[in-house]
Amino acid sequence: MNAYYPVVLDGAFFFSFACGLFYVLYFMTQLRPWRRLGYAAAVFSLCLLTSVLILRVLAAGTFAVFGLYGSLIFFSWLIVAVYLFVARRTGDSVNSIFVFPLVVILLGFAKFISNAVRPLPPALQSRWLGIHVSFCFLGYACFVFSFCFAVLYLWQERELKSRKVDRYFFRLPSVGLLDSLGYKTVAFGFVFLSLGIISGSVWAQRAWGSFWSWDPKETWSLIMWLVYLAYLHGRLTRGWKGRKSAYLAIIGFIIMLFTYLGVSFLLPGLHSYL
Amino acid sequence: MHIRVLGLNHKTAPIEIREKVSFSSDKLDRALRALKASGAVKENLILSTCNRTELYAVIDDSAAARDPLGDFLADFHGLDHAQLAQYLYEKNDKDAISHLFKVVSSLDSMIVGETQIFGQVKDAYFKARTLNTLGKTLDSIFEEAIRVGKKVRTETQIGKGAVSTSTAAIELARRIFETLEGKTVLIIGAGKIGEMTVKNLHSRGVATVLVANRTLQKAQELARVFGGKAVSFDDLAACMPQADIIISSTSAPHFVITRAQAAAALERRRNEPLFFIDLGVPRNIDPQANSIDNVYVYNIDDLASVRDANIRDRMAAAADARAIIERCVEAVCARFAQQSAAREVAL
Repeated sequence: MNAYYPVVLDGAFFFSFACGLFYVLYFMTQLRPWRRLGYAAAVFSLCLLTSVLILRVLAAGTFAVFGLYGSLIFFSWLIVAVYLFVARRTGDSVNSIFVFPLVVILLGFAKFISNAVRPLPPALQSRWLGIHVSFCFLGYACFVFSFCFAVLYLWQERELKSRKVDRYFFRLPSVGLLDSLGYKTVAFGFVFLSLGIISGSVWAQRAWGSFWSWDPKETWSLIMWLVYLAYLHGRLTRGWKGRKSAYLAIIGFIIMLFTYLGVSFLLPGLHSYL
Repeated sequence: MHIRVLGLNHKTAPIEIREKVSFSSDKLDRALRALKASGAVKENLILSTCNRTELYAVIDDSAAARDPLGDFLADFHGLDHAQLAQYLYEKNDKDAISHLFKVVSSLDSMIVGETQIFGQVKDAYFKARTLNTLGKTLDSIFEEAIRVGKKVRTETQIGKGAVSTSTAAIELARRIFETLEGKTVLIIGAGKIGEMTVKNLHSRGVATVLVANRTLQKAQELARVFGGKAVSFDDLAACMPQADIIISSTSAPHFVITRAQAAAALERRRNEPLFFIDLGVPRNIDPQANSIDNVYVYNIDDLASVRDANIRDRMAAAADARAIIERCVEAVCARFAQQSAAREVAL
């Protein structure tokens, strides 16, 4: 791997950390310069993470998102990218107080494990890898945001219901915005997850000869998919809004974390990273 | 050479006096020119709003012992100088600069944190500059004042938070709905705060105003003001689901809207959030309705507590603002001292 690689990765880690710190400072003090710094740090972090990915691709000669390490980097990159996309679209940045600490944890975790680009088993060397992994993690990244919006929603809803104004009340966005952003991110995430699962099974059929083999990761992905399906179904047919939606988004996120990390460590199978 | 401000404001003078010494736009032009022409001061600027009239000037040392500004103000408005004097305050040099910075930051305003005064100071400055009544000294002080005003607004929380009951209701509504545009508000009964709230909501883009009253005529009168629709009390249940915000201020001795009615309305709205503002005493809306998901019920005391919390925040922000102002005053004074020292060396 390139000699600059560790420096670039440390830079990305540093800027993500700084970004989280700036946004927390903004949230506490409400002074706009902190927010501007936070935004700048997020942009730097995205640039450096992009460089990290490019360096890895150059080193591996292929789209190197295989393995736990590669996926952590790719996932972090996606989260920061989606964050900047959402922040530009909505002009709201409060979710960053949860998003960036998560990115810092993911990147910090990555620093403790080997960064070697391991060769892929020949059976899995296919362009389907990039498609399948990209869709899955794009879905995951959306679910990270729907989780953040759900937590913020429950927080602001509590503030409103208590009818006592404390200093967080006016710093949090309206429940209306949080609810609709939560819905949109779940809807997008659901589409990406579905595409991820479909592309995965097509690839599985080619590589292993079967569309579905009840591998733990597949099973848990299905459970996650069903939870988000319930979210969307309840919303569209029953008019579930607010608290019910928020609880489902949180449950979905926990299942997602388990599917991503828990399954890899506790329930080895075809998708094992280690 | 001295920098002096002389004037009066809502704290020192009643409205009867304030209206006598205020300068309307055309009077202002005349006054600025007249004060300059009198030769009593080297530079001058007049700030005249409904709450204050202030004359800022640079005065020669020889004239400083006299009261050229007080004389001018009394003479211009044809008032008795001695009588006017009891309402006036006069501040010099550092105190004058500090006063101006407090004024422009709205610390001296009736409602701390209001934004109008900043624009008024700016207008007064541009006016004096156009009429050429400013020199280097006042010009640089007012430029600095405008910078300080901006700084205080961006670096403190002074302008945040509603400080009246009706604006507190608006703020709450904006924490529930992202935008008020296109929303429907239903007002039941009539009352001053209720009407004020509807007026504020209307000016913020609420699309439809429904007015319900025991007497249909009254409802129609109010509805006309906002281009809304009057509904009879019997149709209340039918039109409730349309409303996003329901304001109630009737004197009914029992609940006008029960928990069950609120729940039914919400169901017909497919759980779209519903905000009740209960201004009635005794209360018009069953407080139990607040426990329904997506329903928020605020009564008059809740609104008052939001308002009071905001006022407390503003007081805290005012302390931050004072610290900023103090630093800026010191900086300006240090600069002046340096400049005048340099001038003496040059002489």
